[in-house]
Amino acid sequence: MDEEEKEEYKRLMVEIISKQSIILGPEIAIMRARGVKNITITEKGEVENIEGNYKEVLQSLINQYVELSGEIVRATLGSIFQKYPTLDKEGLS
Amino acid sequence: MENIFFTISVIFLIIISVVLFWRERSFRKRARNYEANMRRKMYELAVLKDLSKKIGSSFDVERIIDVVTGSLHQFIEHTSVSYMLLEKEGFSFKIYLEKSVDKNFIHEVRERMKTSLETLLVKEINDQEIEERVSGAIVIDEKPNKIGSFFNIPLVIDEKVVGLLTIADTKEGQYKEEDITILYKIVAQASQSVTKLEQLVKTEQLKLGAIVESLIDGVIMTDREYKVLMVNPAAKKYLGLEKTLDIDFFKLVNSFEDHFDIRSKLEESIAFDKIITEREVLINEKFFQIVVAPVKGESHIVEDQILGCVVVFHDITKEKESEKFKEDFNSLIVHELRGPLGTIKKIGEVMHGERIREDKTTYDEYIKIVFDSSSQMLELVDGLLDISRIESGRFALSSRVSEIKNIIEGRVIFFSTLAKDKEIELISKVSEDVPSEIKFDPLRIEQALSNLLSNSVKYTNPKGLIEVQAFLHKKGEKIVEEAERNGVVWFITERENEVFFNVPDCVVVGVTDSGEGISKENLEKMFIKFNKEEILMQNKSGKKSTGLGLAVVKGIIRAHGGIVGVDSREGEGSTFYFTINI
Repeated sequence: MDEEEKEEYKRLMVEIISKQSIILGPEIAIMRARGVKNITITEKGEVENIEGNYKEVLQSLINQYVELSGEIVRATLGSIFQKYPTLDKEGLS
Repeated sequence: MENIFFTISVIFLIIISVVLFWRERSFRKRARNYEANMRRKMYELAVLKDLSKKIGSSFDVERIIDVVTGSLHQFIEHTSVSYMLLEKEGFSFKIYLEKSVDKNFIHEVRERMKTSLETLLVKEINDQEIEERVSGAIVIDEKPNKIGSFFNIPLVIDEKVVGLLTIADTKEGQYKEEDITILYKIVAQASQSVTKLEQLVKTEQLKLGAIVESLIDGVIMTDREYKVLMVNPAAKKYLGLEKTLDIDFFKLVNSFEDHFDIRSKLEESIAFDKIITEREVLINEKFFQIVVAPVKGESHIVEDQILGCVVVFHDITKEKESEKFKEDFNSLIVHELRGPLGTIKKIGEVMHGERIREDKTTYDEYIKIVFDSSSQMLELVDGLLDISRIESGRFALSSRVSEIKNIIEGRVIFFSTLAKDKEIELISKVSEDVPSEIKFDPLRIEQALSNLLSNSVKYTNPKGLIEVQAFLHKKGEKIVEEAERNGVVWFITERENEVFFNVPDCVVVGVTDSGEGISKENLEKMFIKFNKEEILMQNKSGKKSTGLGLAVVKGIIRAHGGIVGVDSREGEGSTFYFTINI
């Protein structure tokens, strides 16, 4: 169950990085993602591994982008979140 | 031993050299970083300073981007700076080339920006919607280039995406996170300032809009191309466009018909930067003063530039009517004074002769004519003076405790001779509960009652009846029922109950006649000064009037804190009333 959940979080994060790569450009999108603790990102923006509390890692990833380009980022995440109905997203901001 | 010493010395020297080399390298690296940081800080400060100056007076996104990107080359290396902005219709894509590139490079930048904006706006953008402009270095197709590095900065104003700024270079890995972050930070600060300014402008626009919407004057605004930007409700009403949706220039021109050539006036105003005033334009049976004026920009960006035109309609119908009526009135007054003056002059000439003095009967008759003529003139002059005092607020009352019953009876006796001559019965009916002592100006109330009685006698035909009525009204009571209880027969109907509902306790004095009556439309105009209807009606029936009598009554009663009113049934008679508070 935990492994399954981890994979789902990984897929979700890959999608977020990929969308931010389109919006902001791949270099800065990957640079920002690499600044998040407990996450390993490849040069192509793939999530190799996540550790610790996945939800906290996801929040840190979102914060990285919000910090850079503001609240408009959250608006672009809605459609991605909808694809992962089983993941606990409560409390995410 | 010597060898060992030599070897140790060499090793020591090597170590020292390595340490010195590393120290030197580290020092240089720190210096380079320090220099890079300083450059970033200097750029950030310079741009923010420039922005604070320029955003203070403008929220033109393009201008702000120019400030951000203007000195960018001093701070980071780049091949192109481009922005794609949402316009009223479509998008504008502008790219400034710092170095020469081929068309494909430009196309690639444009495509990436388009995809980014499509993702942000969640909508597809057609290539036809994008207007492209390339500036800076020349485009060389023989030199193929590819994008090595790039980053986009979304431009957001008031939580809405308005465009995208992109920095691109042909080299790979050109940008550091610190450099990019500074640009993001600057753009975010600029966006915040613009958002604040835009919100301020929106609030001011709302206030201004509300003022223009509620103006009695009609206001129309157009841009330089005569596109109608705004038509306020008053203008729609004046032009009969209340129900017309999406008022365009053609609908506007049609609504003026042949009365006013709005197209030429707008053209003239814009072309010659001129305010045009048309003093009198008749539209839909109303007179307007129309002012067409150019609208100019006041900020340094659009200084002296004509942005469009404003058309203001001021309804002067009442002034025109009043002006016309005053002209009519003046000629009437002149005529009224000329008549008796002419008579007096003629009699004066005749009375010069010796013979007339010997003929006592004729002499007395002439003296009476002189007296009547001068009285007629005096009445007119007195009326004018009273109206003038009422209007200027110089109408002073000499109130004292008086008895209304005595005044009524006195006036009835005074007018009875005149009434008798016309075979009219003139009576009074004062209810017992009318207080004998009320404070008012007896002379002025007598004057008011005289004016009402004088009118009634004029309009009542022989064998008719005039009754002066007085009874008590209690606040909150229905006037019609009160009149009934007091046996008063008059023409006041139930609609007057509402008028009286909040009137304090008072004595109601009514003058009811069995005259010609007044039509409904004329009833409302009865107490207006220089009342045309009053003059016309009286003059038509050969009963001379200045149209001031009822206006004087109203002024006197208002000065006492009372109310006046009238009701009538055409062909049966009328009741004029006034109240005196107790």
